[in-house]
Amino acid sequence: MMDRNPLILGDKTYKDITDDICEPIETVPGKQWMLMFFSAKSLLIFYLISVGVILFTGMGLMGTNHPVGWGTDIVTFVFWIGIGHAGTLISAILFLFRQKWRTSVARSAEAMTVFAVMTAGIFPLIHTGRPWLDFWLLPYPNQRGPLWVNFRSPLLWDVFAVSTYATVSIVFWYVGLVPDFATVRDRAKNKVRKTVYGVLSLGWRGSARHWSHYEMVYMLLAGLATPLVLSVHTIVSFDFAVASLPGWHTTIFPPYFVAGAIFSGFGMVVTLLTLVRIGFPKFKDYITIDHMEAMNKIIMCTGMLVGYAYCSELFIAWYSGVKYEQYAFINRALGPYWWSYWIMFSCNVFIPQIFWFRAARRSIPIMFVISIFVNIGMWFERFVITVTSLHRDFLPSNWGMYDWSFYDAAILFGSFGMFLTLFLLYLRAFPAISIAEVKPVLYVGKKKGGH
Amino acid sequence: MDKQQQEMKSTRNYWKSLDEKYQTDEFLQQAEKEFQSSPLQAEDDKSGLARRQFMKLMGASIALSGAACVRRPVQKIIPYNKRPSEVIPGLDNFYASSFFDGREGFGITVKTREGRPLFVKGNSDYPANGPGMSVRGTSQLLSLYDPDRLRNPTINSQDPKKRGNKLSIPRDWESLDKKAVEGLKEGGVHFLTGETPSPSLNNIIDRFVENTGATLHRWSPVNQEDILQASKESFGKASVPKYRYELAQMIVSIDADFLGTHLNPMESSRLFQKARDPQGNMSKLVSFQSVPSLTSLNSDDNYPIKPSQQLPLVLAMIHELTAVQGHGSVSGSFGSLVKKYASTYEEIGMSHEDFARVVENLWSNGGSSIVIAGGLQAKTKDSVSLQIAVNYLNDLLNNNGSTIHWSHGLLTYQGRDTDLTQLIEKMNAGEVKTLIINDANPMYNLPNSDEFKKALGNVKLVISTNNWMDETTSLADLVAPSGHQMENWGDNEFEPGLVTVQQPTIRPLHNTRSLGDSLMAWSKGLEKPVTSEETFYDYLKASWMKQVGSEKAWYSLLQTGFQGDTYGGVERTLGFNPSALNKVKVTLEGSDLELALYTKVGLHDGSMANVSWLQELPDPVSKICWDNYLVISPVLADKKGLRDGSMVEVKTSSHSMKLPVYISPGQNPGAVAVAIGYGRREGGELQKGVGFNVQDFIQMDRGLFEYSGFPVEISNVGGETYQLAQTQGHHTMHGRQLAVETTADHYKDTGNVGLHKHKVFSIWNKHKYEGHKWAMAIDLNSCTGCAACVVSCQSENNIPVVGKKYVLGGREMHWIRIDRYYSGDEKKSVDAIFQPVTCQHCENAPCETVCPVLATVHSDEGLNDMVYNRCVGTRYCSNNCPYKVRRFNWFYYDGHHRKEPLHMALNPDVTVRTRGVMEKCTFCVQRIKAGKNTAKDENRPLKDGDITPACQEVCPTDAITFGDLNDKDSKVAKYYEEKRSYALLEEFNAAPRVRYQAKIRNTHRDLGGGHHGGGSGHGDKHEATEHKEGH
Repeated sequence: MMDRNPLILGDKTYKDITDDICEPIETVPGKQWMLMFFSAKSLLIFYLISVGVILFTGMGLMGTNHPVGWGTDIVTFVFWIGIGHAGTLISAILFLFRQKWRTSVARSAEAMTVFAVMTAGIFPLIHTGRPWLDFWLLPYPNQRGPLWVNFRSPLLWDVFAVSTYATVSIVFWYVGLVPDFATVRDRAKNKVRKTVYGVLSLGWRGSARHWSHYEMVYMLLAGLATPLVLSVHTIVSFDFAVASLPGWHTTIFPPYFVAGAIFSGFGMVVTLLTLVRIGFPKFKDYITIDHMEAMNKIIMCTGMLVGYAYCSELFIAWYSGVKYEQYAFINRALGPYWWSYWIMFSCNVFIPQIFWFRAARRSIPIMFVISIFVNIGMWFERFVITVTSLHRDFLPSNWGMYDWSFYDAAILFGSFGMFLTLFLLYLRAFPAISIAEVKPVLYVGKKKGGH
Repeated sequence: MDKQQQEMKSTRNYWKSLDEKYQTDEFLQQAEKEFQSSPLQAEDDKSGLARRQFMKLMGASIALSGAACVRRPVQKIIPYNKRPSEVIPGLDNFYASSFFDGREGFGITVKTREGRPLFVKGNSDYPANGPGMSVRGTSQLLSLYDPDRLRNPTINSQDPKKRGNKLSIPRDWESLDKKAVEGLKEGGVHFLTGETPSPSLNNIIDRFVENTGATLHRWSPVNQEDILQASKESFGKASVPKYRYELAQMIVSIDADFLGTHLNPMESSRLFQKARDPQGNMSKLVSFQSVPSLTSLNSDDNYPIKPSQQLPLVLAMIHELTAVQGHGSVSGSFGSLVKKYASTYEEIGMSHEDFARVVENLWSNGGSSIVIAGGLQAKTKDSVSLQIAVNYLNDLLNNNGSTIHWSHGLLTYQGRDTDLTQLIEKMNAGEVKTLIINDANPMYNLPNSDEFKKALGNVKLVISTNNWMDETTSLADLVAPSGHQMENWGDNEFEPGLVTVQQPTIRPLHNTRSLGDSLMAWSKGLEKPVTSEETFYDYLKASWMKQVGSEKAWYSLLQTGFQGDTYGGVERTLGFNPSALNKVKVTLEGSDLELALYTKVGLHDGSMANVSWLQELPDPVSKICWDNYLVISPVLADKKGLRDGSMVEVKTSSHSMKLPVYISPGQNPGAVAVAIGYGRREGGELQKGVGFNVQDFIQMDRGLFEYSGFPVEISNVGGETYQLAQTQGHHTMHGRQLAVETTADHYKDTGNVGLHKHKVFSIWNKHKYEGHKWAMAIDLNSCTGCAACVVSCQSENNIPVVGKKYVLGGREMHWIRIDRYYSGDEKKSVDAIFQPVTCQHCENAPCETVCPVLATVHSDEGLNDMVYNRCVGTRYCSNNCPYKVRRFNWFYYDGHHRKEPLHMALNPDVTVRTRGVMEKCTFCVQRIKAGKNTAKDENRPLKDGDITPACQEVCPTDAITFGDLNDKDSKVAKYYEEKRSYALLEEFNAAPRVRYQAKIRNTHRDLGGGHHGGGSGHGDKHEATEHKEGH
C-alpha cells in the first residue's frame, strides 16, 4: 500500500470522534450559526410569500412569455437537480469503489442532495399554469374515463425520475444515519432528545446482526442509487433533447447533463463544506484539505468534460448543415444573450483551470470563490440552454426576449433560503459526519499501520 | 331622487328655502348632490362602493371565507316562458343589416344568439364588400357593448361661458326634450353632423333644418374635400369617385393607401385582388409613398417620396406622357409648369428608364389604368392642385368613365372642412345660439381645440347626440345619446343605386334614442313636426313601403338587406374642363425634412379608439399596437443616432411636441410621419392616454385642413426612450424559406416559383383519415395583410386583450397573426410579404407528443384539438411548436374578469379559457360542428364551402380557403395541387395541414439579387431542386 496522507488529523481517539461530531447537536448554537440561520430563514419566508403571490395571481408575474415558455422556474429546477448529483455520487459510487476519503464528506453531500432535490421539486410544481392540478401528472386510477397520462412525454418521465431519485436518496441517507442516531440517543442526557433520537434510530442496538444487515442494505442501496445518478439527469436532459427545438434536440445532452450535474454538485459541496469548516472548526480534522483537494480535482475534470460538450455542440451544429441548428448556436454565442453564454463558458471551463496548480487546489479562499463561480456558471448553462434556444427558433417573426421580472429574481434567490435553512437545521440536528464510517478510517495513512 | 320627491310631497310640506318649496331645477340638482355620498348607494357607477354596501360585502366575504366546503349555492335559471317563434336557444339567427364606420360602409350580416349580437361579417350577397369585413366593421360589436357608452340622456351642469363640465346628471328624455325645445325655439340653430349616408335620416335632417331654420354643417375628420373641390373644377360635379380596380391593368398610387385606409379599402382590396390572378390576368401596382402603407407594401414596385414631391411627380408623368412619349400635348402656362418639373423622378432616385416604363405602362393600358392620389398624406397645401392634375392625367389616359366612376361616386364623403370653419366663424360672431352636434368630435379632431372651446362659450345651448362623454360632449349642455348602429333602425346609401337597410339586432341596451327619433321629438315639441309618424322606424317603414309596394316586399328587403347593385347606373363620362388646369399651382416648397400625418388601419380618425380589439391590433405595417409614433427612415436614424423608441422633439411652424420614433424600412429619408387618432383625452377609460395626440400639427389653409408637407425639425432629447409594443421584432427571413415569392415573368416562363423542396420521410405509416380531412390553404398572393382575419378570429373565439404592458412582455393572445417580412434595401425601398400564421394542425404534431397529460390530441379528422379542462399549463407544447402559434393564459382573462356588459360579446359556442391553460387556433371547430349538424338536419352530405372559419369568412380577398382534402373537388384540395403550394418548414416534417401559395410580384426587378437578409426570391437560386434530408 502506498503511503498516503491521513484522512483524519489530530490524533483522535474513538471518543474524540464521537464527541467532536455530536457536539453541534448537544450544544446551544453560537452567534454565527444563529446569524446565518435567521438570514436564511428570512430568505425562506420571502420565498414562500413570492411563491404564494405567483400561485394566487398567475404565472404571468414571471418572465416567461411567448416564445420563451420556460424560464427561471425550469432553469432553477435543473440547477438544483444538478446540485443534488454530487451527494449520491460521493455516497454511492465512491462507496462502491471503496474510496475511503468519501466518509467525511458523504453525509453532508447526501444531505445536500436531499435538500437540493426538495428545493428543485417545487419548481416544476409551481411553474405550471394551474399548480392545483399538478397531480394529474401522476398515473393514478380516476373517474375521468379513466384518463391516463401521456407516457410519451419527457415531462412525465421527469416525474418518475425525480420522485424515484428523491425517494432513494432519502432512504439511503436515512439508513446511513441510523447507527449515528443511536449514538446520539445513547449519549442523550435529557429525555426529549433521548425519545426523539430513540425513535429515529429505529431500535438500533449495534449488535453484530444489526451491523451485518446494515452493511448489506447500505451496499444494496448504494448499488441502487448508482444508476440513478446517471438516469435522473439523463431524463431531465430528455426534457430538452426529445423536444425538436434547435439547441435542444441534441444527442449529446444526457452525458453532457450528467457531467454538468456532477460538476455543479461538487461545486456546491465545496461551497458548503468550506462554510462548515468555518462554522465548526473542529470538523477541520475530519474534512481536511486533502478531501477538498480531491473534490477540486473532480471539479476540474468535469469542468473540462462540459467544456468538451460545449465545443462538440458547436462542431455538430456546423457539421449538421441544418441552418436552424447553426443559427441557434451562433445566436447563443453572439446573439442578444451572448453575455450569458460567455458567463457560462468562463465560469465552467476557463476558471476551474486554475486547479491545475496544487496551491490553488489546496487554498480554501480560492476554492470557495471558484466553487461560487461554478454554481453561477452552471445556472447560466441551464439559462443558455432553455432561454436562448427558445427565444429565437424557426420563424423570425416569433422571435422575442425573455421578460425577466422581479418575481424571477425572488424565486431564484428565495430558493437558496429554503435550501440553506434546511441545511443549517440539518447541521444542528443530525450528525454532520458519519461517526460510524469515520472510525474505521481513523488509522488510514498513519504510521502505526492499518486497522 | 323620485322617491325623495314623493316623500316630500306626501307629508305636510315643510321647506327650508323657497327653492325647495318651488322645486326649482337648481334645487333639484343641489338635492341630488347633497345625497351623493349616500350610505345606501354610490353617487354614480364609477366611484365604487358606498359605505353600507362595502360593510355588507365585507361581512359577506368574511362569512363566505369561513364557510368553506359548502355546496355551491343553487342559481336557478329560467327558460323562455314564451319563446319568440324565431328564437331557438342555442341556435344562431342571422340578420342582414348595414354599418358605417366613418370611413367605409358595409352590408353586413349579424349573427345573434338569443337576441344578442355576437359576430359581424359581410353580407355575402351585398355587391360592394361581399363577405369581406374590415377590422373596424368586426370591432363594432365591442363598441356596442362598450361599458363606457352613455346609458342615459344626460344634462351637464355647464358654465356656459367658460364651458367646463362640472357634473353630469342622468335624466329622463322628457326633461331633456323640454330643455332642448326651449333652446331650439330661440332660433340661431346650427346642426353639425358627421357623415350620414342614410337617405331616410337625411330626409328627416333636411326637414328638421327647414322647419327650425337651422343651418346644416357636415364635417367629418377624415373627409375628401380636396377631391370634391378638384372634381368640381375638373368635371363640374363634386364627387368622390369609385375606382374599378378589377378592370385596371396598371395602377399608380401616389400616397393613396386604397388597400388600407383610403376611401373604401375593403371593397378596393376585393376588387384589386380580382385582377391579381397569377394564372391569368395580373395587374401591376406602382406606389409612390411618403409613408409605407398596405398599398406600398403590396405594390409591385414602390418608390419613397416626400409629400412635396407628389404634385411635381404627377406633373412629370404628364410631361413624360405628352412631351416625351408624344401622347397628346400640353401648352400654355400649364405646359411650362409641367416642363419645369419634368425631371422630378431624379429627385426620388428613379432612373429615367424606370419612370418611362411606368408612364408607358399607363399609356399602353389606357382606359384600363388608374392613377390615384389621396389620403391624409396627400392633403398638403397643394392637395386640390394635385387632384386636378391627377384627374387630367387620368383624362389623358382615358380612365375617367372607364376605371374611374365620377358620376356614381361614393356618398360616404360629403363632409367638408369648410363647413366646420364656417361654423366656427359664426360661433365666434355670436350668431349661433343653439348647436346640435351629431357624430362629430371637433374638440378632439381640431387643432388648437381651445379655440373651439372658446367659440362654444358663445353658444347658449349645446346639444350632443354622441354616445360617449367625449371631448366635445362633455362641453355640451344636453347629451341625447343616439345609441349604437346595431340598436337603431336605418338605411344607408353608400353609393348611388345601392341601398341597404340597417336592421337593429338588439333592443337598445341603454336608455338611448336614435338621432331620427330625437329630431322628430324635438320638432314635435316645436310644433313643427317633420313627419306625421310616431317613431323613426314608422317613418322609415312608411317611406320604404312607398318604394317597394307591399309589406311582403318590405320584409323580403329586410331579409336580403339591400336593394340595387354596385355601379347602379350607366356611368356618364364627364368631360375634363381644361380651364381647371389654370388652378394647378405648385406652392409647396420642398424642405429637407417634411412631416405627414396619416391614418392607421385600426384606429383611423380615433372615433373607435375605445375598442380594445383595435387598440391591440398590431398595425399591419409596423406591427406596433397601443401607440402612434414618428415613422422615420433608417438613414435619418443613423444620422441622428436614434433607435426605436427614442424620444425626439418634433417641431413645425405651428406646433412642437415630443414623440417616440419608429424606424421603418423603406421610409423616405426626407419625410417623417405620425398617425392621428391617438391620445384621446375623454370618452372612455380604455383609450385615455393611449398614444399621442398629434392633432395640433394640423394646419388650416383657406378653410381646408392640411395634414402633410410641413417643414419639420426633429431633435434628440437627451436619450429619453419610450417603449413601443411591437408584436414582431424581426423583419427578415434570415435566408429561410418561409414566405416565398417570385416574379410574374419567372412564374410564366418556368411554371414554378423556385421552391426549395425537401424530401421528407417517416419510419411510421401515416395516419389514415377515413372521414373528413380538414385543411387550409392560404394564398400569399391574395393576402394584403389587412388584418381583418385577426380581429374576426378574436371576436369568434373569445380571445382576450392583454394591454400594452403585456404585449411588451410577449403575451399577446391572437390565434392568427400576420407575419410581415421585408426584403430589399431598407435605406431605399423595400418589398414586403404578408404571411398569416395560425395553428398548422400538423399531422405529426410536435405539441401532442410532449404534453404530459394528453391535453392536446389529434382528432380523426386531422384537427389538433386542445382540451382546455385537461390542460395543466406546462407550456411544453408551445416550446415544441416550430410555428409558435400557441398562446397561454398568463392571468385570469375569462368572462368574470371583463367589465359589464363586455361579457355579452362572448361567443357561447367557444369555451372561455381560464387562467393557466394553453389555447390556439382550432380551425373554428365549433363551426365545423355546426356545419355538420346543419347538413345532418337537412339530410344531405356536407358540401365544400359549408364550413368557413371566421378568418376565411371576413377575408376581403379570399386568401384563406378551408375544406376537406378527402373531397378531391374541394377548393382546398385544388390549392394543394397548385404549383405555388408549399408547406411552411416542410423539412421539419411536422406535416402541417396548411399550405401556402407563393406570392407573385409583377415586377421587372430581379428579386433574387441585392436582397437584404436574403429573404424572399431566394428560391430563384434553387430552381425546384430537390435534396434529401433525413430526420
